[in-house]
This record gives sequence, C-alpha cells and structure tokens, in this order.
Amino acid sequence: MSELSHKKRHDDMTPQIEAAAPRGPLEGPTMQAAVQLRSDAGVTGAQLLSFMGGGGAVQLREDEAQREAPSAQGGDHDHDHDHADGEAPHVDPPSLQDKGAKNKVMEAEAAKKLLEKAFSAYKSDISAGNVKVLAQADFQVAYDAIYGKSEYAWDKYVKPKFGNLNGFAHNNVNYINKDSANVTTVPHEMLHNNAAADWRPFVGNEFDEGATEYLEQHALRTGGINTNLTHYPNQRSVVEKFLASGQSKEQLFTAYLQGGASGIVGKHVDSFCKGSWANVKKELQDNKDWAKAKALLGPKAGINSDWSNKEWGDLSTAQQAHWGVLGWNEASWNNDTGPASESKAWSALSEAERNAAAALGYDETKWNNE
Amino acid sequence: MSRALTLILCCAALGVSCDTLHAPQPPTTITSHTETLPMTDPIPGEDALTREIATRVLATPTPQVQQLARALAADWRREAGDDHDLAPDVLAILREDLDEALDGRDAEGRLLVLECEVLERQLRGLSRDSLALGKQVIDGEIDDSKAKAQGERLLKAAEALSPQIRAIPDEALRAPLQRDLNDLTMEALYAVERKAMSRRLSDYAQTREGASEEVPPPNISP
Repeated sequence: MSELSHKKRHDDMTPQIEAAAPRGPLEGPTMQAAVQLRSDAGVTGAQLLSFMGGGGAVQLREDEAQREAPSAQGGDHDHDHDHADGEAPHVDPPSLQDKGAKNKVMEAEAAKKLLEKAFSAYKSDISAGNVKVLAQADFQVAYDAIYGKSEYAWDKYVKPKFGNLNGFAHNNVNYINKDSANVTTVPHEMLHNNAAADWRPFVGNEFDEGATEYLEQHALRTGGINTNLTHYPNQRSVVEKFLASGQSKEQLFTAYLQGGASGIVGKHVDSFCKGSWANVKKELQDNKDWAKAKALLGPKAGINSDWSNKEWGDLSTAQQAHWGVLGWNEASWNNDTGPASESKAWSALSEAERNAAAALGYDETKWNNE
Repeated sequence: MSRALTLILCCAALGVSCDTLHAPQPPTTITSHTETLPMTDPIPGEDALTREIATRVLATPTPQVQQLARALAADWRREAGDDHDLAPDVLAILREDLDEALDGRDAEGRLLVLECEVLERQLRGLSRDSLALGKQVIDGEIDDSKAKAQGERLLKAAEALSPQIRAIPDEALRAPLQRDLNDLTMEALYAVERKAMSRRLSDYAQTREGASEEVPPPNISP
C-alpha cells in the first residue's frame, strides 16, 4: 500500500456507480424411535424431499477444522466472527479430536434452542419442521413402505445399485438415515422449515442450500459447537462470494428468515455485481456451474474506483462496515487519518481485512498498487 | 481396473464422450473455437488448458492424467464460455478451486482429485438432463411413456456411476458426488414412478403449484 489512502485515490475514468445500496408420514412402532419434528411453519420445498438432505455424507474442511482446533469454544471463524454472548443452549459440543463427534445427531429440542439463540432477533417463533431421523433398519423399513412392492425395493434395487441411501422424502416428510447424519443435520433441516415464504422460490435450491449451511454453521458456532462439516461446499462458496460482494450476513439472515430476498439478494447483485441475479441463478440452478456463478458475483466494473469523492455518509451500510473492518470510521474518514491497514501489504492483512477489502472490490494487485 | 479406466469405459457405455462429458454439449463447438483462437486470445484453448491442468496435477503428467485433464479442460472451456469479460474470471476461479483441492496431497491423492473432478462434471451433465426431464413431467410437457423411458435411461446412467463413486476412498471427495448422484437418481425415479423427487425439483413443483389458483398451498397447520 502506498502512502496515499484509499479514499484519496482518484480514478476519474471509472466513477463509482451510484446505485442505491441495499440498505405420508409413516406410522407404526418402527417409527417411534425416530426424531420427529412437527412443522407449523409455512412449508417450502425444504420439507418435501431430499435423498441426502442435510443428512448426507460429510465433508470436513480440514484446514478450517485445524484453524478452529485451538479454540474449541468460540474461536474466530472465517468472516463470520460474531459470537453470541450469554449462556449457550444445552447441546453437546463435540470435540474436534473426537472423530465420532460428527456423527452425533442433535436432538430436536436442542436444535430448536440453538436456532432460537442464534436467530431470535430475526425470527421469534422457530418451528421444528417435519423430519424423521431413523436408524438404518427403520430407515429401510420406511423406504420399503413406499417402494417395497416395486422393482425399486431396498434389497432388490437400492442395496445392489447404491449400497445405501442418506435420505428421501415422501408426502411432505423428510426421512433421514441416522447413520449418515451428524450434528449439523437436524439444525440444517429445521432451518429449511423456517425460511421465509419468498426465500426459496426467489433464490432457488442451490443458493438456498449454501445459505442454509451458512446459517447452520453460524448457529452451531453461536452455540459453542465448532465444526465445519459441510454437505454443500460449492453452494456455500457461492454464498460466501455473494457476501464478499458487499452484502452483510445480517441482511442475509433477514432475507432468509423474514423475507425480502428480491431486494437483499436480487437487487444487490444487479447493482453491485458483474452479472445479473437472473444469470447467477441460472448458472446455479440449471448448470451447477459454481465457478461461473462466482465470477458473475464479482464486482461490477467501476463499482469502487473512486472512494476519495465519497463522504462517509455517502457509503452504504455494508460499505461502511467493510471499511470499518479495515480500521476506518467516520472521523478518520473525514479527517483522512488512515488506519494501520493502509500501510499493510495484502499479504499482511488479516483474513477479515482481506475479505472486507475484497468486498470493496480490491484484490491483491489492486491493493498493493494503491 | 483403475477408476480412470472405469470412468472412460463408463463414458463409452453411457454414450457420453469423456472429452466433452455431456452429450448435450456438441464437442465441435468447443473444438472449433479452440482451433480458431488467435494467440493473443485471453481465453486459452482446450489444448493449452489440458496441458495446464495436467501439469497442475503432476509435474510430469502420466498419460492417464493427460487423458483426464483433457476431459476436464473441455468442460472448463464450456463453463468459461466465450465472453472475454467473464471467461478469464471463471478460469481463474476454476484454477484456484483445483489448486485448493490438490493442495497437500501426494501423487495418488492428486490423481484421485482429478478423477473426482471429471466425475463431478459428468454428473453435472446428467443432472441437467434429469432436472429438465423432471420439469417437463411437472409441466405436463412430456407423455408418460416417453418420460418413463428417459427416466430409466438416466437411472441406468446413475447406476453405472454409482460403483465408481462408492469406491472413492476419500470421504471428503466422495460425499458431494453421492449427493449429486442421489439428486439425479431421485429426478429419474420421479420420471419413472411419480412418487418422489429431488429437493430442487420439488422447489420447482411448489413454485408451479403456488402459481396456480387451482392447487391449494402446502399444509402449514401444526
């Protein structure tokens, strides 16, 4: 970084864009062991079905797990580093050293308390949903209750062709194989059941899965459970790219739990990103082209080129927040007293600072050259 | 039999070219573009991408790595497209993601990553077909017998890929592929049986239902 501060840089050829900143359930004894969660929420597709659902097989981001390991209770995590104060709900935080911990399935009541603690500011009435987590034998019975008399019966089809299943849905009940579930499964499915009515129809399933996992991880960390088990690494990376475009996670939570996705997601992308939301959604939904979707979520040309002409009050809330991570506040901005980050090279910035800078349109080259 | 050879044989059995991975994507489109690009084109051609991917995986690529790299390069080019304002960004992200996946792995592990990348791309192609079929069924745009036949074809494709995916020893690499395979399977099963579907297809169905005055909204009572 040169001696000049970001906001004193001029690039008259690329003015900042002035777009408004966004401010048949089964019955019988075999089902009794299931964790049954009843829904009283507006039901979206989340309730319906998923072969894998939140209970799919698990990918552990080893690098993140290792980063978290020294601080098993409330360490800092990626750019989502807000940890709730106060008493954690009664859950059973697994140790990262316990390789079996990821297979622990959270009880419904604990999951509900976890979500209430994390998201009570956004939604006061977290509902439990309609999910059955079944042990392997019961899961197979549940499957065969639907398909047992067909050529797709468990022993005739699933076992020889696929070995096992992680989940399926039928008649608005989501059945999850407990053997393939883990601590994230029930909170994940419960979150789906609490999404705003306009959320999933607007963002589509793939973005929804990534966002649900993002919220699920936030809730787990808020409850003191530090895990980065992930079922949707690609979808989640797209959501993280979306957030890096300048939208705040608080706004994401609002859109997810209260509504307003068209403004918080759609208009934001249309205003600040290289591609339109329609194109991003198309790449996600129709093509699963994650890299292309992320490229479309890159900053729109000229979006950040002239901070020097901006007063603090001209910046959006999200932009102020990102500059805040870099050490700026209204006083220092107006007095042009640059914080320590101004003199740091990109490589010397913290991860949070790099994320904030990226959200403001900087990459390593641009940052170091300025 | 190695997974790579199995994959190639599987592609042949499915009638899917391992070079392009997805039947709906005409290979000539990519090839012709590649051959006519000027040297200064910021979008590398398929051959250059193949070499680049192969050497990212192994400093001295084996023929097996080169063959898999060619398959992956073809789909990278498809995804990047021809927009000179966007394609370099897409390729940069693809490179970064591949490097992240390869990081810290030995030669065997790096080959496994490459095999999984190719498998995942193949699943994407089939997944596009299964989603499109499911939407056609929901919209009543395809008759039952045709939907059943196409669903059964996709089920066969899913069944053919299943052993390869189940054999992946690394859970972190296997899990996302299993989920994608199951989405594909559920959509194909829906076309055949009309009993269940994937979540994404369910979402589409619900959206369609919500748009119809004749269909009541989902039950939201406790």
